[in-house]
Amino acid sequence: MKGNKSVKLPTQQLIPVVGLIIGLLFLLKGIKDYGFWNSTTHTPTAGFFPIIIAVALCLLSVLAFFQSIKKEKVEYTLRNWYVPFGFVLFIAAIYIIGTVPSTILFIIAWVKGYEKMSWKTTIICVIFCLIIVIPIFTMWLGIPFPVGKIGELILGY
Amino acid sequence: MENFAMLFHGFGVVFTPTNIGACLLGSILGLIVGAMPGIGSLAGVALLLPLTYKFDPTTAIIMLGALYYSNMYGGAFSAILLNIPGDSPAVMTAVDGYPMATVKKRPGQALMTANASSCIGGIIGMLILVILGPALAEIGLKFGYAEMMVLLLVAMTSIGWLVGGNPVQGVLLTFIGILVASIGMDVQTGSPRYDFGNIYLLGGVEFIPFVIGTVGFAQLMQLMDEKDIKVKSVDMKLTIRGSMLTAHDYKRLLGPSVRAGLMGTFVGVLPGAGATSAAFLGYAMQKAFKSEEPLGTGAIEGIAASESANNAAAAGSFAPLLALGIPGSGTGAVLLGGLMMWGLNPGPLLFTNDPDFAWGLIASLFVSNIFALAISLGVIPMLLRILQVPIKLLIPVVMVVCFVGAYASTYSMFGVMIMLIAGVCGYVFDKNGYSTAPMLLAFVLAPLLEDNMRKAFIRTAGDISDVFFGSAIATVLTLVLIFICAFPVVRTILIKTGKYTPKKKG
Repeated sequence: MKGNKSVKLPTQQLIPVVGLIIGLLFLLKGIKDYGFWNSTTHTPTAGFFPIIIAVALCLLSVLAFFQSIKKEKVEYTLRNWYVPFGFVLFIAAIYIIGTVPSTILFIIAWVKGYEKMSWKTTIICVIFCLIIVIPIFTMWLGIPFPVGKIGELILGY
Repeated sequence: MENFAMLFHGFGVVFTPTNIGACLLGSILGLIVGAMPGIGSLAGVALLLPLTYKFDPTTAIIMLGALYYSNMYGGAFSAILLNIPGDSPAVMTAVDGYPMATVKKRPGQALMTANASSCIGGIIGMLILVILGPALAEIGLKFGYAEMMVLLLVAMTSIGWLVGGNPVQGVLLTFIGILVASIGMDVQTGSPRYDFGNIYLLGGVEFIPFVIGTVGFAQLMQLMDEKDIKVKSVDMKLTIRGSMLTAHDYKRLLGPSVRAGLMGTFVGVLPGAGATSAAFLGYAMQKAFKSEEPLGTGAIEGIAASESANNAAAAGSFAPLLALGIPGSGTGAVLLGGLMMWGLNPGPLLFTNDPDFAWGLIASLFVSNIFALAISLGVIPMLLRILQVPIKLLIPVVMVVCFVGAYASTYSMFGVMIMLIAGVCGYVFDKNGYSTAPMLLAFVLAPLLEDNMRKAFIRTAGDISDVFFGSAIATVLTLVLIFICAFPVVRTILIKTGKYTPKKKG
């Protein structure tokens, strides 16, 4: 199967560590920039709520970390990451050639190029996606999708 | 009786061409999304949320309610014909549905059993909702800032506790969800907060891109593992006439459907329990009653109990959502986020201040129940073709939907970036056994919690004991909260000290 390469990562331990970092970031910024309690008016300030949650998150992250110490590394397979990688390329194409051409190219590249499906299936998928983008979102909902650098040049934006 | 009079008023709201159209569209889309293995109601509702921009709030939520509700019908299709539940609430349907379709060669009747019992369960759930919703709202009116604050804390932590295997993981994501929601503007003063110097963060993290990423995009990454799996479906031609049940079949399904419907509704009302737990409990409850054939061998009673319970729970979950503003599940959180996006504030005053909306939504559930039943019957001959759409084609198409949905909510690529980051994080969380439903719920409820918390502390001038123990309601809720928070800590300590060994699953 394509994209079967995998790597094991200690994300069971990493998630609590990231949780702790986020908690500390919100805690320190909250104390420094927004404060916790206004002792003159006896009212909570903008940092009151996030600081409480940040403290709780730090404590819970420590607990989660100790719970995760003995857990095994998690296996990540390359093919799962084709989705975000493909999506980034799709966005990059939108910046250059705009939404509609990028959608057509993306579907052809994925369905015909990667999945090796027939042209008939590929064209059906392209038409389905274009129905979503053009009549539903652009015409009915009025969403001005990016036309890309080339589109801007042609349209004189 | 007054409630039922208001329900008829609600039907008046629903029976406009636009609302009926939205209800029908929601029912069709819900059935399709529910039937497709791998998408699920949460991702389905999230992905289709941007489609409602064009509608007014009542029409929009009628469509989403119909979508969520008919999803429960659709989930059973693939469970019965492919042995792959379209959504988690249909897991127990497959246990008897697939053997009935393949071993007993009665696929059409298995589908009809699921449809009929879903309809019965749904009607029971909705009738209880009509009575329970306003009653809950009445109780909610007695809640002050402190009571509401503790209730929200209980709802958030209990979902983190109930969803997924590890309470610590659930609550950890709850806190992360709250902190992400606190980015943007201070809820009371409107001053910028935690924007980290980024102009795009001044408005906060947008709900739609966040939710599309966390559930929709993350789901696509997971589906890459399943895209090449060949599924074996039943090899019989399905016709509507050939799917009809006999009078004896109806007699068999009625009892389990009514029992499971009643039980499922109350499970649906509980935060975190949801339609999946209801289906499991409904099936387990049926084991205590007599079935004509043993459960697990293709018994009508098994399909009826699980399907009736999950539909009833879906209806029941609207009671706390509308009356208290507290969703019972991740999908409920997305619906609540949608409501807030359109400027509606679910809570005790909704039934009084906005009866058109509240009763219109409840009435629309009855209508979507009928639509879903009719469409379910109508699509039976085409069902095998619909279910055989390969996952490998679904992935790039849904990726395009993720893009247009995220872009449409912000009119900028920033929303698309938020969606992508949330999607990758959601996938990593799922991969490590963290359920993202508590994070979504916390994200939606955080502004309400903060507002109530700050007002409660202002009212008591910072007296903590007055906030948490100032009234009988607050005291009871605080004790529940302490239990929920202390349980995972005590459990961990007991496991570490060897005084308790958790039972292994399976």
